[in-house]
Amino acid sequence: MLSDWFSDNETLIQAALAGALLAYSFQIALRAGVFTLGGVGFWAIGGYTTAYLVTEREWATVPAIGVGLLLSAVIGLGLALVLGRLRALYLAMATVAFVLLVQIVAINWEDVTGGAGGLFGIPVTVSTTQVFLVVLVVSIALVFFERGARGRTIEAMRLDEQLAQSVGIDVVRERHLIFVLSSVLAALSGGISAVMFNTLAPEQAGFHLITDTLMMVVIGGAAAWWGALVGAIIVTWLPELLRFAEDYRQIIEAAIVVLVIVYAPEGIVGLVRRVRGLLSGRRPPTATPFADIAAATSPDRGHSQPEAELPPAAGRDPRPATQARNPD
Amino acid sequence: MAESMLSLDDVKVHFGGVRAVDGISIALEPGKLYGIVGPNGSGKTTLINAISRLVPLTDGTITFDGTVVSRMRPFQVSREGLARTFQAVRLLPTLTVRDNVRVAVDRMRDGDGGRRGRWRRTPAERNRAENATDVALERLHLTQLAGEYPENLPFGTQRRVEIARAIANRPKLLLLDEPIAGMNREERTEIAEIMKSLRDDGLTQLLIEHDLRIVLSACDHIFVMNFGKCVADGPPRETAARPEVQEAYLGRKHDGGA
Ligand SMILES: Nc1ncnc2c1ncn2[C@@H]1O[C@H](COP(=O)(O)OP(=O)(O)O)[C@@H](O)[C@H]1O
Ligand SMILES: [Mg+2]
Repeated sequence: MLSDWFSDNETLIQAALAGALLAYSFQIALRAGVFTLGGVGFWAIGGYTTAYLVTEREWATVPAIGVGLLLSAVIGLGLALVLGRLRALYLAMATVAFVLLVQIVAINWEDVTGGAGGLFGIPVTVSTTQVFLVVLVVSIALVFFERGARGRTIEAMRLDEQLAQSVGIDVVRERHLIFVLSSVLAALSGGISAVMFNTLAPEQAGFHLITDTLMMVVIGGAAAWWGALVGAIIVTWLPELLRFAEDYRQIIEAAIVVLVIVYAPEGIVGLVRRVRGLLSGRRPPTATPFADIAAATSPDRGHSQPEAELPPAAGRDPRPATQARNPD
Repeated sequence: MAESMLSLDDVKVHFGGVRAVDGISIALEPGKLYGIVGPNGSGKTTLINAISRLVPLTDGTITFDGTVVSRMRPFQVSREGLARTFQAVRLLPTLTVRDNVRVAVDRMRDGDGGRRGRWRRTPAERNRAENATDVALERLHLTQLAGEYPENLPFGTQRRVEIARAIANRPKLLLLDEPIAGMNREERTEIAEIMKSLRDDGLTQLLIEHDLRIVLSACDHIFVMNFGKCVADGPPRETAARPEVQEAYLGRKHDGGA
């Protein structure tokens, strides 16, 4: 019975697994306050590299994907160096430009990418179970990544970059690292997708993949690794579940996103934590990367964040208000 | 004279036309508690920002424990052993009190050149970091509150968490930007006692504070700033009593700022 369900839904399961890897790529960057959407570009780089090596060069799957990861790591580092000073929306826009650039290359480099029509008949060389295991391993790695010193470092980088520096965190280096990790995860998703779905076309690696993946992270929540996984499952199944709505499907999808953003800005992770907090009587605040990012749209190193006024308190000397712009 | 813990040589920080810090030359001896007083906008915070490297210097040299740090990045001076607090409390809301302190010792390593960020720490190093966190929490009377989140704590307690974070990594120099502003009388006295006991342990401190009563009772030496310049310095009581200091500090004559 379970295996029936499994084979009936195999394509969706595969899509959710690939989606989860890409959502992880986005999530890891957003949690560290690195608002890059370049993951979709690296998804394409990983995908085309793998497809090309497996199809044209008859490479084995694992080394082919490995080359895609390596290439993405190098390009990711290059991108991090070039865009290093950009923050928040400026970085988001620059990385969207990168995605579109990769897409244009994919359309025009016909020998390798098959041009606008894309590649067909890529040999399917991975099983759903294997991909599931990859996602499992990555998830476990992320559990360790978000715990302990690294988890605290990530929180500090996102919430207060200046503070992070003042406690000894090399923010520039950490951001480069995050860029590279995020690129590699995205390339893994792309590489696996190529040899799981046997076609790959430039139109897949465009703006709608960015919005789908952001939806996964928003709906699932970014405060814990499993938010991306849950978000990937929901966003992948949503069109199925909403099939009855026919032409109104997209409108309903959009409405769901709006409702989540308004009423559960921390996604499902936030909801679960809130319920757990109510039960235990102690409410831990959760992370909302988007809110933090919106609050810090300074393009250069965050040096000129607006300063919060000192809270009024009894026994304080009456003095004129301090100017609100010093970075202290 | 003993070698300085910190020396500033003609340090200037200008923001466009605003000469926030305009030629400060001071030296701090190790193990003393120094105070900076001066009216609002006189450049006290900017001076601390310059020392902790959060703002670029327009001119001048900063030497910290024998090392020129004027061109370093903030995390580098931090790893050299400089810690600071902020005028507005800056805690990480998603972390517990304990983790807010712990974040400052995560890079603590055995051996000296070792305040470098690395992936893995040895169990001994992790232990040391845990202990350092415990000690700092204890010192600021926060042990009972270690599991709380900052937003559930009163303002004065949040300030104490900031100080705990700043001392956790056993810095050589601690810069405190109005650490007791917004606290009640009792809390102020408590923090002043903690600063004095840190001084007795040999920690050099530079304290910005408006409450003259605290500055006079706690500090060994004060600097008076006005319009980005150091207009007087010396032992607290005598210095504060000087007429030009009274005038600068009360800001009567030059109201309206730089
Ligand atoms: N980042 C900045 N950009 C521009 N002007 C600044 C900045 N930081 C401080 N200032 C200005 O420098 C002067 C000194 O400010 P500050 O150092 O905060 O004084 P204090 O801490 O003594 O109250 C003020 O006029 C302030 O407006
Ligand atoms: Mg100030």
